[in-house]
Amino acid sequence: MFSSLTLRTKLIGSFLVILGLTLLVGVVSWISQERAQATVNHLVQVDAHVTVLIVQSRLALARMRENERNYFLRYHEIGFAKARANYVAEMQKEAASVLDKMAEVRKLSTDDEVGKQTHVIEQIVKKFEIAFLKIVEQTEQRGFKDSGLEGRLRDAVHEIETMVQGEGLDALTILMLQIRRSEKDYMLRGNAETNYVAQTKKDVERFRTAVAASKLPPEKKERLVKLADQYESAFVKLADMDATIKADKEANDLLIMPLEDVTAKLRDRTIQIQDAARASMESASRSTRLITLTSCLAAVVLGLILALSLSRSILRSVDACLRFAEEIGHGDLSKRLSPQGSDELATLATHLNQMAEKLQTAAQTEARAKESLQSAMQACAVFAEGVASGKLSARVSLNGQSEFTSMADNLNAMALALSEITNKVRGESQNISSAAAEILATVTQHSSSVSQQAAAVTETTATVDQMRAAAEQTAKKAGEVAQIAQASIQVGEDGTQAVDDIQKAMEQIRERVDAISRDMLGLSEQTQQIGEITAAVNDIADQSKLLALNATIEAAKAGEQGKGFAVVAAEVRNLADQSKQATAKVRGILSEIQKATNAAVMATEQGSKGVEVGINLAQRAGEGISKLADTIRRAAQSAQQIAASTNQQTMGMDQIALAMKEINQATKQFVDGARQTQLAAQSLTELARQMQSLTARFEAA
Amino acid sequence: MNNATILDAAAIQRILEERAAALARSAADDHDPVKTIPLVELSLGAERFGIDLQQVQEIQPLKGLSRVPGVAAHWAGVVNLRGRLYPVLDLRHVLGLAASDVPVEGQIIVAAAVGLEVALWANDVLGVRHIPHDAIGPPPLETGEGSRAFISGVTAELLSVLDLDVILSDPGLAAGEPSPKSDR
Repeated sequence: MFSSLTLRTKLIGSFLVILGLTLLVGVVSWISQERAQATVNHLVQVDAHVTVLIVQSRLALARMRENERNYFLRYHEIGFAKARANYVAEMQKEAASVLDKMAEVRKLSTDDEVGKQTHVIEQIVKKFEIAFLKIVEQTEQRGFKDSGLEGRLRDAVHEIETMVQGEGLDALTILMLQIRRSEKDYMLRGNAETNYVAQTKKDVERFRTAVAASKLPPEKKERLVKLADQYESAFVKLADMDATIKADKEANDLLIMPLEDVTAKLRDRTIQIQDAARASMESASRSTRLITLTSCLAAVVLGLILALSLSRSILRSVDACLRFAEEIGHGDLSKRLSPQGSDELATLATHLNQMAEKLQTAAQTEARAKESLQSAMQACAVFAEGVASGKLSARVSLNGQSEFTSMADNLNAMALALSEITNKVRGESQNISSAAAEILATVTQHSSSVSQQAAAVTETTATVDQMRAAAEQTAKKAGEVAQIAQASIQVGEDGTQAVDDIQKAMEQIRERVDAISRDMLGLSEQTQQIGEITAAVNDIADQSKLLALNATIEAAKAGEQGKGFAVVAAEVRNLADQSKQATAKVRGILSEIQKATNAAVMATEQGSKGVEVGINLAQRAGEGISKLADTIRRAAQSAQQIAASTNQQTMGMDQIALAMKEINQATKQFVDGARQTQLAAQSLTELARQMQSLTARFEAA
Repeated sequence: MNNATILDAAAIQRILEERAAALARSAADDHDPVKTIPLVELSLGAERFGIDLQQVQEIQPLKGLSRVPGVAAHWAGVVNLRGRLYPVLDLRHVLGLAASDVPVEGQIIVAAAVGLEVALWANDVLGVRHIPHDAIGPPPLETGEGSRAFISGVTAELLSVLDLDVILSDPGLAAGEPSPKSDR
């Protein structure tokens, strides 16, 4: 059934199955998730809230009790009005809050047990509140110190006291004090251990009797008795009230006592509910996990089975096709495939079978064609062998094979044409032989004359080469001359430049010499002046000397007094002498200087004359050198012209030599050609002979 | 030239030492004035003569010599000194020395003796010398008779000491008469 489907259907079907499974797993997971979410929400919004409310209620109850206690503890200090305002109102508020919370819990929780418990709590709280208010009322009636019953008691006893003390009745006073002691004892210790009420009653009775027995005026006695009665009745009432309050308080305590247990139970219950909810959530999530896991596993297993079966069915058919194709490739065309089912692979197998069939028939046709071709070729080979061995009369004959008939006809025609050609060649080869002999004779004659020409050309070439060498030598020499001439021009220019330099230098020397002679003249004049000055100095020295002499004479005449003066005069004399000597020396030096100056002036004059001569000489030398340079330049130009013309000559020689070489080459080629022609003529004769002998082999048809 | 203009340290030292020696010597000379005679030393040609300093008045250069015609050859002329005329005596003629020329330069020594004041011409006046008495010897024998009388003594340095008193009191000296001793 499975194998009858097509491949596409199989693949698509398998994928669809796997997709469905995946979808299923997803849906299951989704639903489980939703459920778990709902449970968690409930847990958070309801159960946890209920627990919180209950805990808050417990706290409110505790505060309620605290306020109650505070009232009883503190009304002594702050008074009834304030205590009521502070604590009773507070207590009522707390009670109301507890009731509210209980109502809320009942609204949220669906549990019956919880509902019942909340009802119980509500009732207890309500009762407690009423009882507490009643107790408060009673307490206020009883009063404290100046108010209520206690106030009245105190008023009565105070009046009694004032009356008794004013009269100075000691016995009554003592009794009065006894009554008061009993009263105080009661107030302090209560009536538990000793019956102070009875004691007080007894004391009042004794007081009454004492009053009656006293000597007081009757109106006073009546008044005291009345007050005592009042006191007694008030005291009794107070005691009764105390007892009532105590009893009520105890009852209230008893009433409130179980509340603790009940709230604790309620709390335990809610916690229990919470735990149950959590447990149910966990179980739900566990089941979800299980379902998800199971469906996943199922999907995996199913997918694996589908994949394996599909691949096996496809692979089997494909393998068969592959093997078949391989065998066809190796040349085995006899095998056939057996297609199963109706899928694409079965169709492929059928087509492969058809292909093998066609290939087999084609191979058989080819074998037959080959056989007929071989027989035709055989006949042709026989014919060709005959023609090759010279039997041109042979013919091809094929029996009714149309493809090769035309070929055989053509071969026969060819054999016929060959025999005709052979006949013709035999005739013509004779003619060739005689013509070749004539050519040979002519060529031999020609060859000898060409050889003579070649010799002549070779001689001419040698001569031209010699001429060319001579021309080259000439060109080289001319080039050298031109170079030397060029160098000479350079030298000539250098010489001109040097002469110019000399002239300039000479000019400078002349200027210097002129300057020196001017300086010398100045020096001479100055020397003259110095001489005049020296003469003046000499004159002065002479006069000084005379003055000194006169002074000496005067000093000597003066005798002892002139002695010092004589010394001075002698010194002046000495100085004058020295001046004279110095001037004499200066004069001598001056004359020497003058002599030297004169000599120098002479020398400078001679020098400037010499410089003039030198300048003239240099000018002449310069002119000579420039003339020489001109001459050299012309010589250089001539040398260059010679070199250029010689170069042209050499080039002409080169061209001649080249032409001669070409002639020589051509002659050689001509000789070679003649020799080859000779050889060709000889071989042509030989060929004609061979051709004749060859054609002799063929037997013409 | 350098030696003349630039004196080196040694030369300066030497000059200073010479001066010091000269000063010391003149001081030593003056130490004992009694035994020396002060003489004015003068030169005539190559000869040197001394004249007693006490007879010398002053010494001047020869300037403005006016020749006087018609007088004896030993009178060279007259000179004007500060407005006063002095006859100039050429001692060469008196002493018989060679005198071919008329004096044109040199000095004149104004001297006074035997009531006469004359100017004695000299080539040069060399200075004042203090000669000890005992250093003056008698005149040399070979001098002429006439001139010998004019020389009172000769020193060791060949300085002839002239006796002006004798010369000026000589009758041949009178103007207009030729020199009695030198007219040979």
